[in-house]
Amino acid sequence: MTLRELATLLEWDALSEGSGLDVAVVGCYSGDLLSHALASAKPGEIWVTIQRHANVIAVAQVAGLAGIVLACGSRASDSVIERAREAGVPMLTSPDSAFVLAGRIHRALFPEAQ
Amino acid sequence: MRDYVADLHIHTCLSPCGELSMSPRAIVAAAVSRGLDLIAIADHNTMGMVDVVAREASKRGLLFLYGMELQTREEVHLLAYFDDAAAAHEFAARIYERLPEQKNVPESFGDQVAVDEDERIVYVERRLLLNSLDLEFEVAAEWIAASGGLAVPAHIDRTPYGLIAQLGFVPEGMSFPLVEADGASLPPACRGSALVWSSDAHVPSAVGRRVTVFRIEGPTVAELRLAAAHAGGRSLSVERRAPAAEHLDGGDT
Repeated sequence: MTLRELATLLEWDALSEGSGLDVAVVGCYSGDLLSHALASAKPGEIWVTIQRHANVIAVAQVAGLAGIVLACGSRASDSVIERAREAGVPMLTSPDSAFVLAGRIHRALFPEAQ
Repeated sequence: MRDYVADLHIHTCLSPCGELSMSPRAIVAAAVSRGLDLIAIADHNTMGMVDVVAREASKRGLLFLYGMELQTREEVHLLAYFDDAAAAHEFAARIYERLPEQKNVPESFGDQVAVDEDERIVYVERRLLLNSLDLEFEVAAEWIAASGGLAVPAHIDRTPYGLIAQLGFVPEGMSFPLVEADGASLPPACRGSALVWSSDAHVPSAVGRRVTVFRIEGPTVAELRLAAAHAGGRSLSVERRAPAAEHLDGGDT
């Protein structure tokens, strides 16, 4: 499933499309400690977090993530969104909590596991 | 110029995690018994105890800096130091406006009690102090500098609340003359910064167990900055100190 399909299905609002939403999403990482994300998030995963500091962009790049979805309606500042655009990192936002987001993403990506 | 043995990270009974025994008198007595020259109080998001500890320190010939341990929006702990009381209090008032109105639950988080020289309760802080300010890390550092203070990332190598754990690395374009760490050296991301050790004491027996010895002209924020740069013969080094004989328990929180 592509990030665009997932974002449409789950009604996410794109703050930055980065280098495009037509990237494949293979899984999900959820958490707010950037050091842990750096160590544990896997390439192609969508990152669910409430952390909206500019450092999330570099972490997403380094870890090769499909994109970042900010939970609980968390919105990054304009300067952070601008940086995400420049870095080519998709950044989206959703009013859902991290728990609801993770559940919905899991259902969308792995319907056979339900 | 001379050596100042300094412990710049001490909590009082006002911090929810600080023991009630962390009164001004107990802190100063512990600092004196460990042979410290200089201390700073660094309670979470408040300076409610700095004046009373400063007075108590001055009675015993102990030097003092005004400190606070801020918790930024990203849950990063950042120390702020001031040598000017008015600037420190003005800064603290601005910080309090950014502290969420969430109430403390003493049974869960601990008591937040301000006391006087004689250990009588002056007030109970109702707002939870160990909470994240509505203030971005970079902005907090800017505020500290603008108020004439010195920003020092606290226990940078600790999980959680250390800068590296929370944010992965030092944000681009930022550098700090001094960085506090638990480890014997700073992470590679802090190249150019000088290592500081402090006790982060929450109980009297822990005061001064880890110190930084500053060779400086006097206990000012400007001199600490110069020591970090090794300017004009100034320097700093870190060391552990044996506990005073009457205190042998731990106290790491």
